[in-house]
Amino acid sequence: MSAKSVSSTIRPFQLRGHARPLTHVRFNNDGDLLMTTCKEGTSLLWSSYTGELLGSYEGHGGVVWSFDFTSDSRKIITASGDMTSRLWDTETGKELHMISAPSTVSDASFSVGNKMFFIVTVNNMNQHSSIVIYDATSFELINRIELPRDLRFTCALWADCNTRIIASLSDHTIVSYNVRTGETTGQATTAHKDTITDMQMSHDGTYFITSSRDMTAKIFDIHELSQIRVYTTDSPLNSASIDNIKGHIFLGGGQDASQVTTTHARSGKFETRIYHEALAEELGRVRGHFGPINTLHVSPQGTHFATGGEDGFVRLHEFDQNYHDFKIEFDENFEPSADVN
Amino acid sequence: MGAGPALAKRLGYAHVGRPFRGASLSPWKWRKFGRAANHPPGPQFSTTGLGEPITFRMQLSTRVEEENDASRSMVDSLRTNDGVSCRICRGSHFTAVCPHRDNLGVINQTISLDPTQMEDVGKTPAGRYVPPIMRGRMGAGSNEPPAYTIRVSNLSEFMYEDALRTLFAKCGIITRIFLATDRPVDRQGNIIRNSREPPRCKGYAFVSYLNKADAERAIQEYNKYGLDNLIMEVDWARSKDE
Amino acid sequence: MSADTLALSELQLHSINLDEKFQNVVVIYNTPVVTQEKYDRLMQIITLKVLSNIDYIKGTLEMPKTYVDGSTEEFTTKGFCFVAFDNADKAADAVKKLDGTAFSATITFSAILMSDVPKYANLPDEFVPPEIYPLIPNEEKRSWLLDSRHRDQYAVHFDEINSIRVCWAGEEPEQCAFRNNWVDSEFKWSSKGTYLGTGHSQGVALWCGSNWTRFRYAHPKIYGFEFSPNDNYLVTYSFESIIIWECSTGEALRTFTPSATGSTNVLRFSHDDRYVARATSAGLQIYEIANNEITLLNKKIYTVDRLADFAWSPTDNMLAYWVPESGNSPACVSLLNVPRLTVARTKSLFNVSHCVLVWHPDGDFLAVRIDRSGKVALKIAANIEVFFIRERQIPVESLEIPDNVVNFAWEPKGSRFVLVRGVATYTIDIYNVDAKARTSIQKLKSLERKSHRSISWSPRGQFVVFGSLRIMPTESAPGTFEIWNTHDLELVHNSSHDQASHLLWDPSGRYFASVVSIRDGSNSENGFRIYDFKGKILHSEKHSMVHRFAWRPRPASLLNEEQRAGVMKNMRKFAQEFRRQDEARGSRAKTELLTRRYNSLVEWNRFREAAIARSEEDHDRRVALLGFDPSQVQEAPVTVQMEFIIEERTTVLPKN
Repeated sequence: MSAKSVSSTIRPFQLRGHARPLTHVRFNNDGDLLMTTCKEGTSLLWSSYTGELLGSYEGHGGVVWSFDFTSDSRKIITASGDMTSRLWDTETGKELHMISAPSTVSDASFSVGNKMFFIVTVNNMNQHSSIVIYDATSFELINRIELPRDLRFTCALWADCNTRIIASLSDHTIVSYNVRTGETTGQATTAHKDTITDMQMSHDGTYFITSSRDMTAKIFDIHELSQIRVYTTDSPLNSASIDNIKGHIFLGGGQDASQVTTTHARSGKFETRIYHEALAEELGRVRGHFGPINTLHVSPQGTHFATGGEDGFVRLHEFDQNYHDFKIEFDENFEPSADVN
Repeated sequence: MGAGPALAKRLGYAHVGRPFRGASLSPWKWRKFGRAANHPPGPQFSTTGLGEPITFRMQLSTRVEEENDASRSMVDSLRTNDGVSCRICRGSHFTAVCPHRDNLGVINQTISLDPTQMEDVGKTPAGRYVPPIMRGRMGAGSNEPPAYTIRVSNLSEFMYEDALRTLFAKCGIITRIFLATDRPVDRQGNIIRNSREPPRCKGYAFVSYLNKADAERAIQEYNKYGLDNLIMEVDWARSKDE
Repeated sequence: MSADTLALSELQLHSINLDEKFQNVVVIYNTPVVTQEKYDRLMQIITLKVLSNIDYIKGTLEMPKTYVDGSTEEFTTKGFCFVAFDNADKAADAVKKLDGTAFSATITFSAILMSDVPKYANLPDEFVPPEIYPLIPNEEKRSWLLDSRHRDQYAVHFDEINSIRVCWAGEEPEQCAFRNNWVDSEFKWSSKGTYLGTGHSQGVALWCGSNWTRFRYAHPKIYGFEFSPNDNYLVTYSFESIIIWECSTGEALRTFTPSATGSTNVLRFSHDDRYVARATSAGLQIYEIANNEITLLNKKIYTVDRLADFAWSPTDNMLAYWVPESGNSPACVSLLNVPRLTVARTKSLFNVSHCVLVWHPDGDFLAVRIDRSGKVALKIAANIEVFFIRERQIPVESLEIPDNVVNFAWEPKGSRFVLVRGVATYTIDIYNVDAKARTSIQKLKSLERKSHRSISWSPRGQFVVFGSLRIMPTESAPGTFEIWNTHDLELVHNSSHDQASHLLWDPSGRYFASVVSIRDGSNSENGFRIYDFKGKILHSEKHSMVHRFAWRPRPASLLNEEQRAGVMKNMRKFAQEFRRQDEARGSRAKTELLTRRYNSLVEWNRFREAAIARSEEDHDRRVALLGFDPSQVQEAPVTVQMEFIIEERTTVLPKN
């Protein structure tokens, strides 16, 4: 079996523009735009190739927790702690529409084909946490999935040609709902042991990855919600992303300094870990952040990845040729021995 | 902070084009908007910086192999100064992977204690004992990078260096931390080693940053910050001249 | 009710809260029950006849009485009395003498220590046979030495749940034993590796042999325990008492009372376990251990006025002790032969503030590290006095160091030593000691401007590791270390393990470990690493907390000089054989790993194929949603000119 180790060198762009910790970074479907949002409420759009700031989306009055691009990158929907979700024109930065919610909106996402979107609200202000599904043109309410008062949704994804929504709950379980009826169609009750911090779908929509503060990330199948792979690390994870081209998993996290006053904070120590998707073994680590990594995303083309940290910095990396050349192959005449579990 | 960074142009090629996005939608033809409305075309240094090159290994292995090379070459190059110097700690190694970012305190101490300045001990007035930190203060400016130092006062006596570092590392790259402590001392004035008591903080500390902006940010963030039932005061450190 | 039971129940009434030390008081019971008429006569007889040979505090003989109602004159004695002594040892001797003495034809006295009253009062009614310690044959005790791969063991005590894992060291550590909650406080290997000792609230447990057979020693509230050098005895320390146990039988051989102030409470054994000594300010209490009895040698203290400290030689029955200076008499260090109790050598020292006695591991030399107190303001200096034990008349050589000496260590199996001196930055000096040479103490090399102050010699000699370790619990330390070869005086390797606090060699000198154990908060760096003697990392482990890491010590070699020389000669043959064994093992492990990975990949591909096949069924739906077919369209890439930042240079204007 050949797995020649490579030494990869990247000079990342350090994107400055946020003063507070980052909440969400995502590339668009084409991989040429990168959007970043932070706890101050600033939403910025960057070019992934040059790292230049293309513009900002002004209007939110509080932290912007999450956002989503349409698949043609024409529109962006943001979810904010000012209890609104707003629709923006990507090119001009103009606010197209605002949806008010009874409580903090923690997530928003367009369906495949951009005809629908949902927003996720949180259970503060005496409200129930819910996923509210709207029509993207008329802004009519299509459905609402509500939770009992003591639970809340932490992440949610469109799945299976928009027939279902897969969501993670604050009780560390994953539930799949039917979009039209709101019924629960499946559950993974022992998914994780601590808060599920991020969920990202694979490019072909057949499996998704979750990251959790229980120091593991897991891959689940969208139909049975069965656990396919587990990636164990030694620190709580905040985000996980899949490099679909190479089959690598990127994980980011770290101990939050405010929770543990005596973390030995070595500058630049917070690392993105790279794992092999199928073998679940660690391949390498990329350092650079001065604080825990809150969010990360690998571009769908597998050419770049971006990380946003608690330190307020966004680091935009372009993979070098060595990374693309790295391959694990088995010889054709490899004979696996029989007596191994 | 001096002359701005130099920008060198390079032509890049990008794959652009999708069935539902014609060339008219190309971001290269977009006007910048929002906060960037007045920016000229191209990346701006106010928003975009180039980080240090990061080298990492991609490998499948049975054992954890640490990058000892980095630390060894650093120690070696400390011995043979080839004129290579680290921008951060002025040690003789490439800034690239300054592994002693962590050990800045140690390196800085060893640097300011180089033998030529050790002899200052004899030169101090009336054979008084000069603590190592203070030695070589005369003319120290030439050795260290310009550090923007802030003074943090009204700290609790249980404060220790690691906690201070964690707190202030959020604002930027720290080049030096000095926490004033009292060590337990026996009757003859010798420092008791292995004493159960931790050294007590005297209540103040100095933190030096690489960038002035970081130091300013630290002052803004942490002045009047409540910690351990005391309100911390953070301000610029006043040099002896002022 | 017999007189015994009556007296006992009376004693129970009188049993007081024994936090106060009643070890000086003896209770004699079975004394006659008399009325006030015969009382004086009884007291007289007891004082004259029974207590005539006993060294008790006169006037303390006390006989409790029951008074007749309303009267102060009429009473009957209760049947027991108290006598007080100067100290616990005298009281213990008296108990031995008095217990069972006949008072008259029909009356026999019994005597016990006052402090033992609750023990006897609370005797269980049922007879519980005492726990018999299983007899373990020596092969079983030394079973770990018979490992087919000649590996050494180490034990790690980690995590809040007090787990201990014992592993075979090597390229791939193999677990030998693991248990959660194996210990309450701390664990120790015995001096020759026979036992693993664990501290608990009820006492100490020793674990022995390949089955980890347990031996229990009950001693509540201990704060520490130690083994004797030959693993025959175990000493447990608590604030109430210090007990010496015999390991194999579990018998408590002797109990000592710790003194509250003044003398040290540490008991130290001679190298062959025949003697044990304790320092008091009046002198040395040296005890001889024979036939399961521990008795004071010559039945008295070896007087040394204002004794400060002492240390046994690791190979002979000789101990070194020192006395600080006072008034006009200088300090001095002396060597005492035991059991003859003759002074082999003594040396006076001047201007001494503190002494540390450091024996060479083979007993060939004794180094005394003297910190000088400067009469001239704050002049920190030190001296090393080296005693050449093997030479006739034990000559002493002096080495002056005009600096603050921080650390000192002898080379095992060799004649070198290392000392670290300095303040803030250190200089490390390597010396060689040779009695026959003209300059007996010769400096070989000096390493300047080091930040290392910890020294760790390989047990085979030759290699030594210097480290900047985290010694104070709240001080941060980089954990950098350097390995030096003292034969060629060359640096072998340098590396670091951030925040490491210990560097420990295994008994064979093949490996050493660095340990990080930071107690405050939860730290993700806690753990240990094992290196080979060249400094290459072999194994690394992280835990939420590492309390202790310790290699299992080995007993002395059974080979004599000739046999050892024979092994060295045939080394090449052995080396070939070992290399072959290692390769065979290596490839087996490798195939296992490869197979596991292969199966993993196959399983993953199977999952992907099934998922993709299933998603193909929805192909049409997806095309309808997207408005086009993603698999069809391939547009030619468009080239666009863009501006990139490729260099950033900061120029700094001079401060004006």
